[in-house]
Amino acid sequence: MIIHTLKIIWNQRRSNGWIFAELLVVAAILWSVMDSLLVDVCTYYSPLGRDISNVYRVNLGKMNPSTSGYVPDSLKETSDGEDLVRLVDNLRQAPQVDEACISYAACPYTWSTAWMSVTQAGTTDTTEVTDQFQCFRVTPSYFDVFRIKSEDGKTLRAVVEQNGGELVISKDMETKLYNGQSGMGRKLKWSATSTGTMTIAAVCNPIRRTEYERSEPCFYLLMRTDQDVVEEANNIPVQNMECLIRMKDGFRAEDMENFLQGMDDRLTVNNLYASSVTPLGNFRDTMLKDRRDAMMKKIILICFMLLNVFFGIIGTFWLRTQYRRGEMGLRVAVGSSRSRLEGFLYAEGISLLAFTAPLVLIFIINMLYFDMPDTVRLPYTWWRFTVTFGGTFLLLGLMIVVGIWFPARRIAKIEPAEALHYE
Amino acid sequence: MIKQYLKQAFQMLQENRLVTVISIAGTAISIAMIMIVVLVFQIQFASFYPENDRDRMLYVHEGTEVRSSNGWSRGGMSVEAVRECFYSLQLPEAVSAYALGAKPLSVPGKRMYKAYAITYTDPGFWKIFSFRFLAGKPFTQADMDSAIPALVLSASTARKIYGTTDVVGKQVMVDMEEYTICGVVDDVSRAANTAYGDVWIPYTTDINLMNNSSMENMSGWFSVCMLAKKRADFNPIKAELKKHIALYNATKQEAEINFLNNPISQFDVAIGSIGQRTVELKDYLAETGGLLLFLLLVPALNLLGVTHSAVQKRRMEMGVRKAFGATKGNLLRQVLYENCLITLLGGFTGLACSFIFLPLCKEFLLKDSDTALHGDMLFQPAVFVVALLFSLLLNLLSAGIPAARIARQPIVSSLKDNDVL
Repeated sequence: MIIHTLKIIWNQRRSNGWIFAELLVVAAILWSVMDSLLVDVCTYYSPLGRDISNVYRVNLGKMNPSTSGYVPDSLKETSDGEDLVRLVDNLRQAPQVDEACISYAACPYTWSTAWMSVTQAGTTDTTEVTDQFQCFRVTPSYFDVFRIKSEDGKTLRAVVEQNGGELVISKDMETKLYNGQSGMGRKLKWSATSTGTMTIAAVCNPIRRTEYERSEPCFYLLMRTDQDVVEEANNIPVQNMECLIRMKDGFRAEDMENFLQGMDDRLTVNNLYASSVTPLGNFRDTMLKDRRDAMMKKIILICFMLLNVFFGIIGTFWLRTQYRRGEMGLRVAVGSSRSRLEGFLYAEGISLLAFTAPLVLIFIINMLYFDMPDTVRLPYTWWRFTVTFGGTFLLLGLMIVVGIWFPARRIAKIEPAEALHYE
Repeated sequence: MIKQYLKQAFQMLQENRLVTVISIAGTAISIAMIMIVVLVFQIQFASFYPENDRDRMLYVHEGTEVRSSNGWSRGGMSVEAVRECFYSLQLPEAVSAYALGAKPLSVPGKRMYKAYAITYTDPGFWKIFSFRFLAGKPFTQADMDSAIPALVLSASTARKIYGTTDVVGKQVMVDMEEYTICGVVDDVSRAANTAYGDVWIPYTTDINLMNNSSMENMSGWFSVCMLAKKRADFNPIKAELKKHIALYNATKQEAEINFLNNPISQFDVAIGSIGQRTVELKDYLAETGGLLLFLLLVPALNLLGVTHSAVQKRRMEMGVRKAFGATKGNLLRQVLYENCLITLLGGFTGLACSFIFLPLCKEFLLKDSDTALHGDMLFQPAVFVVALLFSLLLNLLSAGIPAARIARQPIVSSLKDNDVL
């Protein structure tokens, strides 16, 4: 049967050649697209380390001197930082608000980031790790707003309140700095020459910037007291600081406008005011749009390829059964069963696909050799190979079987006497 | 002769319905995908309300770089840089500076918190873009110079705040500041990169924004767009700008301003350049060309198999025609014409599909998912020409080889219905 099928394919090599070429191109590209899609999907669904549902950013504004209600500097007794602390306290006290925090360069899904170099303090080892890490400046309530957990699954804020120290580092950073040993209670400093040291109060779960990126080492620099916030606000324009709030469970985004209007003048403290409020989901949608679109486009491309394979197979085989009616009739006449005839067609289609497999394998090996697939976000393992390679051929095989099914059904209806007319 | 071919082709189409449907559908899908790529480009490139003169536009969108000894800053420019480098240009027909923001609007007495897209700009903006004013008129240079708090609203924004577009002369609060509405314009699609907005305000009315500058007052929040008198002026304008930059830099101590590769034209924008990142034409062609080739190649291989089988079936007919004196060219043309009918039918269906598919999938196809699509973005003559061109290319690819082969076959073997390999 196999040899016979091969013979049939060889005799039809002109039109089979084109189908084979199409299958080859499609199989190779389908594999690449499936592989990158798999990496995207796996990364997308692994834990983020934080929860942004029901979290909003309060955009801050500062009055112009021409605005009515502007308090000139000469009459103002408080600093901008103190105004900010009071504004956030006002928000926190509202019954609808679960928790509020102040931060800088720590609002997820925005481009505002800060990077700091840190080094281990207290060791005399000259090979100590000095590296740049992303730094989030936050008040401890930040961990409640984003429901961040410590590495052992406890509420991070509780752990931070228990221990002393200025820093919370992520699991990745702990691994990078201490090679698997615990970092709790250890000391770090900004550079080898700086005198002051900082203590690690807690280690948190790995934090990922977005759904499409893997986690990177990062740390939180705590502003434990109001005084810390005020000092921070002295260095940067206060309207550039971030105020993030988590609303109580069950609060709906549509109610935000009413809530803010109910807050009334509590949203203005001297010249500082809450201008508008944006759900963090909006920032996420904006930031992830390109990646999400790319994912959709990949899916469309896969559909396009599969549909084409289907059309190509059904068209070619349909015409072929017509063209080879004489041969088919002869086979039936000399005793071939109809299912056997159909079997030949299926075998022909599937063999064509199978012949592409070695070439596609060579293509994959080449791609891996040149490190083209994304192995940063997802290591290349046997299961990844099995899923993408198997998936590619399974999908294509399915299309071929469906495509041959139509012409094959026609053969089943063939009458030997009628078919022999053509011979 | 062509009439005869067409007649024959129609007969063929009817004879083998399934193959006809599949060939047409295959072509249609390919053309639909290609046309979507083309349409997405066109939305970025073609002119439509209110960016009606995109072919004469030049942009410096957040493409300012200021360097000094202790670092550099990239982003927008200060008002002073706008004045010294751009307002002073003689060649452009109009120049406008703008800064983008988002602030809540509310009626006086009732504070609201929903933010709208605000463009802080100057009267040049109204010269460059052809906004349709439903009521009132734009703010003037005089308003601008004396920082009179006047603003222009889009129709939908006016409706959201006051429930009507008949709002000229009424007051509106932007955050805590009171403004008078001086005009209402027709809504702008998101696809208009620069002209899009809900609210337009003279930037002189926001002191905080004007004063928010750094690097020896060179870098700030402003971007610039210019309208050239004609396309040929692009290079002279860039040359004039260079002189102004040099003069401006000479007045500073150590900071130096430059605009990277800007100003860029709408064509550069359409192929993916933005203020701080330039996409070279050859890179764009390599990427998009590769995609188009793929979208063309796979269906072509597909149709090749089908046409080959179809031509094979008619070998005897071809042999007879040849025996009676038809030349190679005759036969070749016949197969191509016949196939052309299929490709044209498929091409037309595909184009229609792309017009349906694009609005349905604009969410992930276009840069901004809430882009409103208008007829003048899609139905441009060029689109039809491109669709026809790709259809013919597909036809040539898919039918050319089988046709050439059959035309070459010796008469005897054709008549005998032998496959000559």
